[in-house]
Amino acid sequence: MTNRNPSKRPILLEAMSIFLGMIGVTALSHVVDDYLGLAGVSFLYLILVIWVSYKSQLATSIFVAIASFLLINFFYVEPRYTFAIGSIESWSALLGFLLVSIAITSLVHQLRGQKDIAEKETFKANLLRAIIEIFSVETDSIVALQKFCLLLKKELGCEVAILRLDQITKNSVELASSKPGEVRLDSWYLSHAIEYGAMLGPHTGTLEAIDYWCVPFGRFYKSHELPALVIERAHEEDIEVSLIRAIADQLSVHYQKRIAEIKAKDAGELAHRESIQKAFLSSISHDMRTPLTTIIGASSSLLKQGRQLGEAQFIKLLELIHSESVYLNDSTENILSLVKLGMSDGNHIRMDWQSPEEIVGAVMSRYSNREIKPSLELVMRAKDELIYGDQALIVLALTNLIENASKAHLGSNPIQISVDRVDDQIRIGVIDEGAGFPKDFDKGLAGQQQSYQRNKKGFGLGLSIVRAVMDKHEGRLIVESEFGGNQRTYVGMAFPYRVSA
Amino acid sequence: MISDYILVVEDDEQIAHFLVASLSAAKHLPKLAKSLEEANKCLGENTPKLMILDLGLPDGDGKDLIQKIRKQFDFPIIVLSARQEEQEKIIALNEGADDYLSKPFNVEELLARINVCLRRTLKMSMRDQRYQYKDLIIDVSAGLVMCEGNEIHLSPIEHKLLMLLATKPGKIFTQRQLLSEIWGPEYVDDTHYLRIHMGRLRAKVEKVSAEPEYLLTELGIGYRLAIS
Repeated sequence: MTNRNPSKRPILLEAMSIFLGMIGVTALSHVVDDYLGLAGVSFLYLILVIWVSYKSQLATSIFVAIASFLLINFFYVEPRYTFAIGSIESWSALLGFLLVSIAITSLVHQLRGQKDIAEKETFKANLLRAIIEIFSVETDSIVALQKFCLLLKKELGCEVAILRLDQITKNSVELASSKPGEVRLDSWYLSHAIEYGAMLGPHTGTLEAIDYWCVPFGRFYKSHELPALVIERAHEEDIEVSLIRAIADQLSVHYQKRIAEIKAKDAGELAHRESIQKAFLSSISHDMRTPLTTIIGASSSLLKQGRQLGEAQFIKLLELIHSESVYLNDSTENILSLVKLGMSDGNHIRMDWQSPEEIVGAVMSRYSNREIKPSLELVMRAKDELIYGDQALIVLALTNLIENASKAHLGSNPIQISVDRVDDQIRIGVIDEGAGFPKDFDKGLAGQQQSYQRNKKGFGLGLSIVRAVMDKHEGRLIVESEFGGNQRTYVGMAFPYRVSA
Repeated sequence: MISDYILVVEDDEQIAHFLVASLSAAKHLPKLAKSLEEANKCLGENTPKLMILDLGLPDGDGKDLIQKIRKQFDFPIIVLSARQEEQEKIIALNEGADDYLSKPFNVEELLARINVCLRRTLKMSMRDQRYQYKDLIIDVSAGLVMCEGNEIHLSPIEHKLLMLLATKPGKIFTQRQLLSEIWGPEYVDDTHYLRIHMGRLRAKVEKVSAEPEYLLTELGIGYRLAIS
């Protein structure tokens, strides 16, 4: 929307319209004078005044009001066809008409002004909302900027571009444009705008003679890394500077928010990878070397001393090899899962609707087939709920929680596996009675540090697995524990609750 | 002609040695093939009672052999695959394999799966259309389900689901197979339907639905009906 300034309309056309209107009303008044009298005639002229007030400037409206007053006096007030007024009643009527006309003129003018303001604000609000929608829908910043440019061109009727200044060459770089290559703002102007955080262009007080508006994103705080909004100036009409400023500010906020989100995500992914790498190295140094050492030692003993060993010792060494091999296999599985979780793409993760009850049941079934079975008890408080996730990963995470709990568990009660719905989360947790966590343990860092071990073997890696799995599921690892002694410890996975279609 | 041997298709010498030794110790008659070519040759001579098939073979993909076999034979096929190759197992089962083992596995698991497959084959050969295990009785021909002597009333979907599993007790039905058969081919990706109805079915059939005795879950793969 541009400034629809009535003063820019051709004056002759406006004058002719008003003149023709007055002729029309006068002619119509001659027709209805015998039926409606002076009141009817005054009403018709009043309508004319209102119409002109709505269409024209205040001064023009007052002129029409006075002219109508004179026309009524000349043609319809006795004695007719003269400007003389014969009676006090006629004076009163004419003065009343004049005053009412002027009052209505002022009122209509005010209403029209308010309407114009309201229309501008509505247009502005709709435009800003459209900008918000673009950035809400589009995940790619450049695509969002491109759509913004096209939107602005459609609404304002001029070419729009987002330009960035190359800090090395000092040339302008087009990030997005309504018409690629068409917005050719001189690099010097762009540099000036970005350098000083100043808005350039008509009615801005800075470089008003140029053919573009240029508003840097870093207007409130200068930043050479931020681009600028450039709008081509239309030849015949000007866009309100405040509108351009509001658009640029809105765009800047969303753009910078998006950039911040990207940086935060990158930082999160980096931290995630570093955490996995740390866990990986820890696993290699401890969880793999130790069982390998045991296996090599036991097997070499069997090979070299087999004939000297008794049957009981022979079997014991074989059992040791088997148990350490099983542990090594589990560690390998965890390492592979960590590698899979550490991959940036999601090709190795298969998200689907899962039944927590089914997953827990299957995991418990696996334990029931083991030679050494931990005592497990299921508490199902969220039946018929589904979670959206990778079944294999969830099973892996739950298995690690159970393994950790079984190592730490000291009480005679069974280890409890619970499934609950808490607010907007579905939680699968494991509760044991053991030593709990050290007092200085930071629960928020559970799965990131390796130095805290409730028990000797594999604890840190397990929590790293769980945390990594939950990161992939946009969920949380929850640790609730009392300190010292034989305490209940809850370690669980909180999945966001979703409604299956 | 069906012979009383188990065909082992495995190219890794160490694993093949372990498989042959374990099967021999369990009184089975194993026959080793190290490639698809050798497997086809063995199949041309005699039909095994069961086949153990490694999916990764030097001269081709084991899934192709499954597809070929199912055009002509109905003996049980157990596939071997790495733990991480979930999709490979699913595809193999969809092609007609009966069961799977993830590497590494132990001898108990191997023998248990073999016994399950052979018992299912024996039961199917009886063609009595009746499933009975512990307290659950399913009369497929009559469409009747009894548990602990009481008739269980199922919804149409639940009934279809249970009857389908009961046609081949012990065989793994993939999620895709179940969705396609019960709901239709256009629903193969709507796994939540299957989850919900399986949960409801278990609630009616199982004593403790989270610890199923009859309707067993093969995580990431599908479901099967337990057999003794």
